[in-house]
Amino acid sequence: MYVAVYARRVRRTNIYLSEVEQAGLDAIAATRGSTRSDVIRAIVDRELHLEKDDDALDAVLADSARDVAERSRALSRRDPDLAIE
Amino acid sequence: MIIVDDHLALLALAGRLPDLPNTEGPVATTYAFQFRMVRALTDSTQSGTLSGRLADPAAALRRATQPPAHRLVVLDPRASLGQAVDVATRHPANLLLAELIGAAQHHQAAVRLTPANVGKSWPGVLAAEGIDFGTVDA
Repeated sequence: MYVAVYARRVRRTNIYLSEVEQAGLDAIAATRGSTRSDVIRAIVDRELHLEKDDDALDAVLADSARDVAERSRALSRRDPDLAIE
Repeated sequence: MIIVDDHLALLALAGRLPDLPNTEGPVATTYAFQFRMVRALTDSTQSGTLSGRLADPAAALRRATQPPAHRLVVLDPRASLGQAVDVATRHPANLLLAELIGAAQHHQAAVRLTPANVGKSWPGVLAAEGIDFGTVDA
């Protein structure tokens, strides 16, 4: 069974899939002992780069954003393609 | 859609983007701004402000290289290459600015930048190209 990497509310969504797509999803589900829906959710999460929530990482990134942005300008200053001119 | 610079993109990655007045839609950035952001983040985790502050530096870099789409989308530069080249032929624009304007035109997006990331010539070029442009303090 697919285990969601983070707790979240889900909402029912209907999509049309071809017979080939459904057969492929079912084949993967069978090999994993899961369901077609589980396989679809795993694929969507991968495509959207969804990971477990990380509040500590969020806080550090937010606190350091100004410093990192200044570092970015310094590193790009002599780069003709990426400098703020 | 709103296209932001590397500073605002970092805040978007953290889920702490300030309010962007008069805009709507997903938050995005260009490949060039993402490159600048990842380069600075990498440098900062090794020897700068983030050194020793992150429990998992690899997770921070992964967040920047593969942003969760509900927080930040990185636009494919190939989609707007034609517009970017046209901008670069009409104005003295480097890759960073040409891609930014080309992407804004292609996606009909607004552009919001932090004041320190606005080049001297940029407001005039953005206006000449008809881009909805504004600055945001962060």
